[in-house]
Amino acid sequence: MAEHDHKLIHAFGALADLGQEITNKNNFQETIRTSLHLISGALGIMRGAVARYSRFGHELNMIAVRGLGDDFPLSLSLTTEDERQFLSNGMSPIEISQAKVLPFFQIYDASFEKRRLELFIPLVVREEIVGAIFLGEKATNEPYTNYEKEIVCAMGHHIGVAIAQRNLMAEIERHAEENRKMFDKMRSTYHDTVKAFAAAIDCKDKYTEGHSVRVGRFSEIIASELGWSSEEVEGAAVAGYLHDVGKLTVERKIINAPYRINAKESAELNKHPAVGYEILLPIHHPFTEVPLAAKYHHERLDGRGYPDGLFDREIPFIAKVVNLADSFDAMTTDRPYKARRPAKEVVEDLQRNAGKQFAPELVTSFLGGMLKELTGEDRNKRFRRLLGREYMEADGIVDKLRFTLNEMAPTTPMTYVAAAAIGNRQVH
Amino acid sequence: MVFAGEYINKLSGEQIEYECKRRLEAGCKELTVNFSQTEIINSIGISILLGVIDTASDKGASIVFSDVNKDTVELFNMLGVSKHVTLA
Repeated sequence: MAEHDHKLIHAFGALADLGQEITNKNNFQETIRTSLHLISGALGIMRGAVARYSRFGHELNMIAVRGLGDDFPLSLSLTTEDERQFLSNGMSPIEISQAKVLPFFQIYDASFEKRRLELFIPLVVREEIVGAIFLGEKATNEPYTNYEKEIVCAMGHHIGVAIAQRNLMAEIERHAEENRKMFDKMRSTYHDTVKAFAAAIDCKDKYTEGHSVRVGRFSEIIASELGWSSEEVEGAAVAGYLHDVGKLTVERKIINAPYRINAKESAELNKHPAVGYEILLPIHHPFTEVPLAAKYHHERLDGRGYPDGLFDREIPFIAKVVNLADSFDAMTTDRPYKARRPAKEVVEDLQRNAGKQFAPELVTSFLGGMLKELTGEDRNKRFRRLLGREYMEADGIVDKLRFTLNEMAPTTPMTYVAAAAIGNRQVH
Repeated sequence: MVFAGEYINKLSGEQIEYECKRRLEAGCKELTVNFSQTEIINSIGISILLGVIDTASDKGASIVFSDVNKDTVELFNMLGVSKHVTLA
């Protein structure tokens, strides 16, 4: 076989290896380093480098260097637009000794000569320069032949595409980061808007000031005690904040009536869940169940709720969460016709109505969260902040919670032991 | 003396490069790489060997490639490697 054929076979082998290297999802820098090895090994080239073009600094920054020494510049500027235009024209190898008319080759002439660099191949993809290959003398000391230049161009094309892909990925990552920031900003704006709405709803009712905000917080606590993801907990909070949005259309005198309202007024007030649903439905909430929470937060498990008298499984879970939070807040705040009830009584009420009005698993999660806070297992003072320290630390509340939770979970291991009240005996 | 393996690719080439550079850094002026076990050298292996030759040249050391088989000699001749080393 003629030497020319040998060379061709050897070069094609390197070209095949290069294609494989580029398509492997290896470290980019390592891929380029290997690619430089493959070009050098294919044609027996003593030294060289591959650089990536930076559009921002108009520089060629070295990403793989072989045998150019420590004093070779790692960043080379393409100062004029003419040069950049010229190099973007196509991927033809430029013989450095013939190109000294261009300022770029004049500026770096000493460095190129010192390391005997002979060829400069601009890497052009979609008419844009993405990098360049610098090649030194061949080990044979012979000049590059035309066919060798073509091989270098073919291999350079692969490297150029790899660099362009990397640039594209970097661009995508940058856009993704920008989008993430924008999303965070929009989310924050959304939450601010939701809170503003909650404040607007609460403003209408002077006796239940802060009710929507507290229902949002209690819903958040329940969701978090149920082990929901942070997004779901956020959704539960929003559902709580907006559950009474329908009250915006109810007459102020009905909402603020300092007495038990009559049947007619009650019917008017009871429209607020359906109205709230209508208000919230056209809004594209990140949490799709928000309108359902507004519509069904007055439904009960036993079917005696409103507006539709749904039974247990017919009621959306988020509405059960908000229902518990809503009722808990109603029991623990002063109303014009009713003073807030002591914490122990509220716990009894929740237990008594579990399975009738409230979902039992929600009641146990909620009371469990309260117990964890009072025993110091949970250091977040979520309940204390909402209900006041004095109210939460009333005598006997911890024991009451332990008894209640044991009674509500008779088949589970005896976790809640009223040690203070009954020694170390388990409670049945 | 540094012994080259059966197939000189990126991994084994870099091992040879490491051993050679370590000896050159230590002041070795005549480095021998034994190819008696070597059957195939790919393009990356050639490139790494050229790098070793370049480093040796910078440090004023000479390199001997010993026990090179016929096919590898042909490859070295074709790519000009033999112009920079003594084949023994």
